[in-house]
Amino acid sequence: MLPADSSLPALPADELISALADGELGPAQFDQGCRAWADGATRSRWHAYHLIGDVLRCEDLSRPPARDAAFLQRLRVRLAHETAIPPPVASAAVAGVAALPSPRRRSFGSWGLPAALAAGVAALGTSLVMQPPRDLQPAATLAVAPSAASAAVADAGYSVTTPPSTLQVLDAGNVVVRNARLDRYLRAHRDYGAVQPASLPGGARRGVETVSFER
Amino acid sequence: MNAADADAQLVERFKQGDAHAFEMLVVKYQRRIERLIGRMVRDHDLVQDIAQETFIRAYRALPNFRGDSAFYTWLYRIAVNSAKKALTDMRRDPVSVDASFTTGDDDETSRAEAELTDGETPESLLASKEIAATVNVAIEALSEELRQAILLREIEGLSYEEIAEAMNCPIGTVRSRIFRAREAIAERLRPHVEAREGRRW
Repeated sequence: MLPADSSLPALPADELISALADGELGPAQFDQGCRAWADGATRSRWHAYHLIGDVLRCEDLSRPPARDAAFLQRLRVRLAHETAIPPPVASAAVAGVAALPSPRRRSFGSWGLPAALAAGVAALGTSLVMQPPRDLQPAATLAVAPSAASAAVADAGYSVTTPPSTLQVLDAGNVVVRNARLDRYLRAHRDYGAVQPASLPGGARRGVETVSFER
Repeated sequence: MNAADADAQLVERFKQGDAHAFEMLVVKYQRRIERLIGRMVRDHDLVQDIAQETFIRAYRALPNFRGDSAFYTWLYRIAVNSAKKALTDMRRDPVSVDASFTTGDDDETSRAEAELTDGETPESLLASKEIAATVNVAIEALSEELRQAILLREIEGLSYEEIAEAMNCPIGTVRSRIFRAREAIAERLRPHVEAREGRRW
């Protein structure tokens, strides 16, 4: 059972990593500790703590830190070419883990959209704007059955129950599908970067992040 | 809170979109995975490649990991399967080197080479032994309370709450002692980190 944040004092960053290694942090402090991974000193400390534990349990596990660092660097290069991890879930309170704020730049390179999201957006792009029926008046709002766009969202693995889609007529020429599920889906991914044509399947652009070596 | 719970937190964070959480798990389990693979494959470079492949496969499959088993148990199976696949692929390759396989035979040759896997340098092996020796010396140099706290945590696997009960002190004191013990040992390891050229974190 996770300790409650209210029962934990504020900890200095380095002591936080020690407690995080033992899984002894509440959700907020766990989040704070994980954020510190961006700092090279934190990564060095995390490695040292686990090396110490490994060696105490089995001396065969002793390794020079530089060797382990090189392993991680090589892995990062390979992971930069992998499909990105799936989109975040809407609910923040999953297994007691604090909600992630606006996403940081991913560590494995300049990814385009996750493939699942790209597929969803591609599907959404063709159904968000539709030609309205001739007799539809501006500003009219109609309730319709879940659209193909909603199906695309479901296919992308985003599972949130929503009310039926609605059509909102912007002008005589275009209709925008308003859907609570779509809105949440798009909000959740908004901060992962603007949709770039090159990020969609077939035009995916990958980059390898230059890793800065710092203590 | 046990090790499996700690990993579950990181797995959940990864599923929520933080790739750093996966790196944390890699750094935590890399050595154990390499040692596991090294029991099946003797070639050092191949061990490294299979370990990399193991984590790549874990990265791909982790979004669908349901937590039916502990994360390390799941990772262990991936490592074994990755090693078996690599060995199978090599057997199919007529150019493959037989010395990459561990024979399991306890003859003179295997005993003589038991400590040094193919491709691992004497310098690397010496550095590993030095680090192990440094950790042991550092543990002995700790005060009794710091040593007891870190050994109860790392060897016995007790939670902070359990250690607090065993040592008859507050949980905050346990957390502090374990942290100070780790820092004291890490400080002794620092020359081993700074002396080496190459990658840092």
